[in-house]
Amino acid sequence: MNHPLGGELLAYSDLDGAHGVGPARGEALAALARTARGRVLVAGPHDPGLIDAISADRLTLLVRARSDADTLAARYPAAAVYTGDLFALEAALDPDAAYDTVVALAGLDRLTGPEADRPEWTEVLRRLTARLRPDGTLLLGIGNPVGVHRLTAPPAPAADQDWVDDVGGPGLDEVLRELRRPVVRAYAGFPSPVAPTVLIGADTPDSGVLQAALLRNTAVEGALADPSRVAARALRSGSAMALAAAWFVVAGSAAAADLPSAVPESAGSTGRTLEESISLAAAKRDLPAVRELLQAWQQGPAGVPADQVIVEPAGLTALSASIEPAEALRRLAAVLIHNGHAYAWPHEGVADLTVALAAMAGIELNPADVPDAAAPTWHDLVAERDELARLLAEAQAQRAAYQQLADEREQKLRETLHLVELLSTSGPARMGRAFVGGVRVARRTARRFRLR
Amino acid sequence: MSSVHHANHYYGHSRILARYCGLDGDFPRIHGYLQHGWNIGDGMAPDHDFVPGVPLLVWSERTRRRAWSLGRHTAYALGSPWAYLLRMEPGELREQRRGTIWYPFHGWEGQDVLGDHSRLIAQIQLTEPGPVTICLYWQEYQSRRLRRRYEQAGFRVICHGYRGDRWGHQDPEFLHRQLREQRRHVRVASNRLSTAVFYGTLAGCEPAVYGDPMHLQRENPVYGGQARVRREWPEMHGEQLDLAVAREVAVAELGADRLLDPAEMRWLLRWPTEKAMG
Repeated sequence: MNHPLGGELLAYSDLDGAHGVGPARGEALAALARTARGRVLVAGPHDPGLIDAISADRLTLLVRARSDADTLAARYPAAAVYTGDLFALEAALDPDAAYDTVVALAGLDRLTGPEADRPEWTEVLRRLTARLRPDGTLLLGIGNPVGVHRLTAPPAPAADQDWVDDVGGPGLDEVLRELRRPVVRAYAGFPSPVAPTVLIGADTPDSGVLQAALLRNTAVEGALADPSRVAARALRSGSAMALAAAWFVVAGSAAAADLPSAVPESAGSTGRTLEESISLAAAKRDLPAVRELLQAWQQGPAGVPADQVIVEPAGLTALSASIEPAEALRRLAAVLIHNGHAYAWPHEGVADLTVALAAMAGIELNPADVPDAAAPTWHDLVAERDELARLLAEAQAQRAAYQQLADEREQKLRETLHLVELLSTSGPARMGRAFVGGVRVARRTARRFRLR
Repeated sequence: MSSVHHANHYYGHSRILARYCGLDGDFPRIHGYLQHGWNIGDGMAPDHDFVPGVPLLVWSERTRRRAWSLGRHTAYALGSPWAYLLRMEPGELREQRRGTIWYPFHGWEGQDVLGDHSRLIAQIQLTEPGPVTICLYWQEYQSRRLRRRYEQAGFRVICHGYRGDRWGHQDPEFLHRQLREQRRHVRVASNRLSTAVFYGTLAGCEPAVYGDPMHLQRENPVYGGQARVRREWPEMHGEQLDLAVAREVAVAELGADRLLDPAEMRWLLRWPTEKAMG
């Protein structure tokens, strides 16, 4: 059943991703959506995959684009689907309608349309929870205005969804205060605010499993830096919440035990990733430890990228499939160089360090067999430019030094050859002696001349 | 640049590393400056020239850290050629070890040593329980007077050989000779903590450092000199040392705890790989 509320968008979709960032989606958010119970209101653009995870007695869906409402109405015939402005919903609902769960994982800023001024987020939140039972549960997503995805994003043109500029929303503390309900769990979502693959609980400790999960996301081409690397570093120093792309909050009466402490679940695993272990050992210049780790890797899951291998006391555990072993080594070399952990080696660039890492594991790799790859982010590009500038300056200095050495040797050789000729009885030597003799005669002549 | 690479061949160092890497032939060119003696600076001789990008190949991690602090950021700790020699020739000589091999502090081609050898001889006689072999630097060994003085004290006087120079007068057997000699002795001693004392310790001798440390002509203690050596390595000074501690120090200073496998060394020295060698 499709109910137009007014303020709905035409020739526009939040679900198809063509006019903005697309719907809230992905397996990680589905893990939260599964806790929804009873009568459920899903407000804002949510991917059907996410809605499928909700086991509701009665489902109400609110979207602002007509085409999205049509899509959802067709897929969920039993649901009540409302189209338009959240602020118009109140009037359309039964006076006694109340929800056990409100799901708004796509945030607060896509619940109204262009027909009115953009409201304050506090007002949107108040409207969103107006019909939530006092003992109900709220699942809320809030984008972080200084999230890692923003800090690393290159300048980009505004999308259709940005009919007013985003000047940055509230911080997490402010949001939690405004909820006026107990917070069951709060998560830092990475790398994207709408499609996070990793959720890190406020008190989830750093772990290799989470580091690996963060690094499984490949960097967006053209990013200033790889957001996943920044996120991984933030997690290591206990700052994941501060740099999250978005926060996901479960507030109200849900049981904490029904919710994961992190996605992926990382409890019980204490090992670091192989990449981190090698980076740390290299930073400390503990090269014997680096050799040991490289050997274990090359004799075990050699083709699994180092950021997808966990080092545990019992050995190495691979978390993903293999690629070309030389490519896995090259990626590690690039990470070490781009992130300032390659000072331990007198290397000549990524390919050369790749050969060095292989050699430390006892494998002699031909530099020509190291795959080629372009640096994907500006950070890496700048790092590689600086490397190349250093290598060029060194090559020039070495050329000059070898030139000088060659000149010195040539001079020495000339002197030696001359000496050899003078001492031998060959033709040129006889001529040399004749010349020396000639000089003596000339000197005598000159002396006599002066005497007169 | 003029004095860059030839020091890599001193004492047959490059030859030992080449053998370790499975390379035959004469003195192979090393891309780097190989430390050729123990020192308390950046590992290189004080008059060493540097070219950017040419790595310093130092013996120990401690020296590498120090070199970095002195602005040499391309140093790599690979261990001393001596440690590789011992790895390749682990066998002790059957011959019973006897007495002490004693290395009076020596000068070099550019500086002579000034000091009282008679007093030193008396102290050695007083301290050493067994027969004493005095090992002189080639320069001092050429002084008949000096040799005679030690011989008259009842010591055997030897010389390990000529360390080498720029124009190819190399002695690849130097360290082999030194190892054979040291393995014949129970103790290794000197009046200054020096390369030979560390070598002897690693080769199984009990080390001792005592007696007048003497002076080097125009000695310039740019890295703190003897005073610093005594401060930093007090455990290596005395007539009787704690053997376990001394051995640990020697292992660290000679980089015997950080030896590379041949594949890594071939990469580092820019030598052909095993495949390329056929």
